[in-house]
Amino acid sequence: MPSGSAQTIRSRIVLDLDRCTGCRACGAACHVGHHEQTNLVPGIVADVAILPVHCRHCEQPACLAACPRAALYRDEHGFVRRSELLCIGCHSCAVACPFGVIPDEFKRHVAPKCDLCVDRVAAGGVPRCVATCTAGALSFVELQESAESPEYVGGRIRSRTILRRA
Amino acid sequence: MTTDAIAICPFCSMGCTWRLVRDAGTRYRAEAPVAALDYTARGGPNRGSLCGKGNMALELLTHPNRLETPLLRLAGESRAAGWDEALGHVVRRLGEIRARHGGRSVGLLLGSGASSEEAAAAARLARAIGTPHLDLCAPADHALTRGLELAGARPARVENVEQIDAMRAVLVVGDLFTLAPCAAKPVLDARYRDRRHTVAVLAPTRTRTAWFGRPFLRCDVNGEAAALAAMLALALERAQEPAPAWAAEARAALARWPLPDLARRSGVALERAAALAAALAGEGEAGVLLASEFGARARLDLVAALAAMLAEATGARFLAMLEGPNSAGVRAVLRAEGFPGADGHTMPELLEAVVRGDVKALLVFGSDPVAVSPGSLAARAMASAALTVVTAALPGPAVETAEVVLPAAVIGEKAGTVLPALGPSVAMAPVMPPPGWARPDLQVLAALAAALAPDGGAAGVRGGEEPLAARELFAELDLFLRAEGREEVAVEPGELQLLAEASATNAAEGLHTAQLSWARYAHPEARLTVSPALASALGVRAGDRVRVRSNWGQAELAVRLDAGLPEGVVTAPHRDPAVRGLLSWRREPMMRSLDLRPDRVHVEPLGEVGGA
Ligand code: SF4
Ligand code: SF4
Ligand code: SF4
Repeated sequence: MPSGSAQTIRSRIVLDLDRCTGCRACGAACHVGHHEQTNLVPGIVADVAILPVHCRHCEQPACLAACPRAALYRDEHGFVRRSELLCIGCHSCAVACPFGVIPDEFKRHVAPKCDLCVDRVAAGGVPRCVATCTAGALSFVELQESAESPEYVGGRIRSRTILRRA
Repeated sequence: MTTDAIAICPFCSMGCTWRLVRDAGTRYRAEAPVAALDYTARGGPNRGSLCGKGNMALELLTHPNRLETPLLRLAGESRAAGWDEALGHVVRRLGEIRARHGGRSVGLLLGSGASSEEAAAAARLARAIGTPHLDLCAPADHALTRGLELAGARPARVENVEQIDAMRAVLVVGDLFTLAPCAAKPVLDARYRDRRHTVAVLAPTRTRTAWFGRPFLRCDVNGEAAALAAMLALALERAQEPAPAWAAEARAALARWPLPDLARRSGVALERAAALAAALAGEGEAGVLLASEFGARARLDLVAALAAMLAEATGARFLAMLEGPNSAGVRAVLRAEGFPGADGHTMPELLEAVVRGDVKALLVFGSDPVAVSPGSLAARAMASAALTVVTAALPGPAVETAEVVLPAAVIGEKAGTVLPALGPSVAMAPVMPPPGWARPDLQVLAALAAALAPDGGAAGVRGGEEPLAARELFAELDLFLRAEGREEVAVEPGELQLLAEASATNAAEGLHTAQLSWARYAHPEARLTVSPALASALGVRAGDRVRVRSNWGQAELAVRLDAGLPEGVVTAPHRDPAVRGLLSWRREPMMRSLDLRPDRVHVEPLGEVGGA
């Protein structure tokens, strides 16, 4: 079990699949806000829809376990983060992540890794990708709410937009 | 975080606002006096969001390739020059050309990023020179705004996004979410707030907007005009009152086309068109939202005119979203000033006149006619003119050939008024100074106008055109529908229609966006989208390269598959330099605007050598 605790992350990013237009503004905001290191991977669904794939900041992160240099760590807020100085760009984390959220294309020889915009969240804001979303598809919601509320992801999937798109 | 300033986005006519803040997240950006975009600017229609292009607004202002010094290209050699020398050169050369060939041998084009004040200054300059040739340089916006002007329809404008939120029936024509992604939120709010709401999308392919259409009215390629005409005829039958002034003429003209015939030509079933016309005319707020992101589509002017008339006839609000941030403002000011005069050239006419040699000097302010228009006409015009002057912020094909290049300020660096698609005019304040010696075009236009005092002999510029009577407009529609009928018959075996791709790729290849990191991030390569059936007929798979040939040129493109494409249609991003060479444009004699209709192409797999 990695050090630190996931308890302190109170909110997570939720994508409403029914609203995302695939405009990639979220990725662009991430790119601009992290000195052109795009931490947000676009998931391409059968070449028809493009959906952002966010880091889950897992409780037992496979990327963290896979990193040979301890460049990945859990910070005091519970966010899984990566130290730019320690990262040697070995791709181990990208291979290990079960959600494929760490891009294969490395910038400046380090793995891009979503930090949940800790600078903004710590100051009481929302992550850049959420703030910029042009379709109201991304939201930053309390964990409890995101797990239970059928309003979010699950409910919308049931409306079968994704089936229609594919 | 400290707020430094609020600016308007320069990349489409939605008029989103953003602000500059110092932000620890970008502490490595040493070059910018202010460090990052904030997405939470209030007051704009975006309500806190910004699209991928908008996120790069700061990058345009701090771009490393920004032009900073005037350039003179004399005898094939280009060199930096001072402003006095460059402007002196322009004044001298214009004076010579005017003395030899008259004021009418000079033509002016104005980009869509010009402020309304700059449009007025351009009109003064044109008067000083004594030329009636002054127009907007933005092809799709040009066709669309001309259609709206000539229709003379006066539908109620959408004033703010809250009105879109509240609509219970919306018709979207064109790929609104690609052109102006920030418009998605209010439209989707309208759709999801109450699941009985109608958000219809009219398009021939499943565009990014069409995914959300409920219903999605898939029309034939070039079927938009016929579909809108059918809906208009149906709406006029339901006798709204007070009926628009043009209603009687329109009814008489549309009576020539039996409704089933119009429906057949559009590819949209009559019942579906009727249901939508009824929904628009029904109780509560409704809207017709038109986006100029059509690329290669026939007769955008007619589509725009009919969409505006449909809105007026059904009592729906109307919104015309344009590619240029101030295309609407530039056109409105030029029209009020009487440009292009009744005997003046519109943009496509002007480019043709330059190629013919009737117009000798071409002055382009804040645009690149070669980069923004399909086909080779603009490039030929730039090459044939005796004098070419371009003001530009970033390098581009016109900058590379112009005799005089003047570094320009962009929105965000200059003051002035902009008329966005939604709401009233916005007064822009500069958030930072232009780089190097770059200046706002307003100063250049004023300096040139002052130096080129009217020559006594120049004939006054005559006033602008009147709107067409509805009768004439529908005569155009008649001609168009008949011609389309003939063309259907004329397709040769193996011929495909090349449609402009309705994807963010287009957005990434606008005047400036192509040079921002957004373009590299979002769309590294132009691809030809084909249906799986066509791919298997050609024996190619996704990612393979094919050769595309038209009457005008050929290009090699990688293939992408889309099961939703209609038969006989392929799509590609029309502003990609390779694709641009495949396309042509026509000028419509009556509307005098561009017709960006799809070109016929042949596609063949590349042999072993090319495919390796
Ligand atoms: S939360 Fe921040 S770092 Fe993570 S994907 Fe969104 S913008 Fe990028
Ligand atoms: S910004 Fe929003 S709508 Fe656009 S791709 Fe990201 S999640 Fe989807
Ligand atoms: S929608 Fe238009 S105005 Fe808004 S951020 Fe995008 S390009 Fe800019």
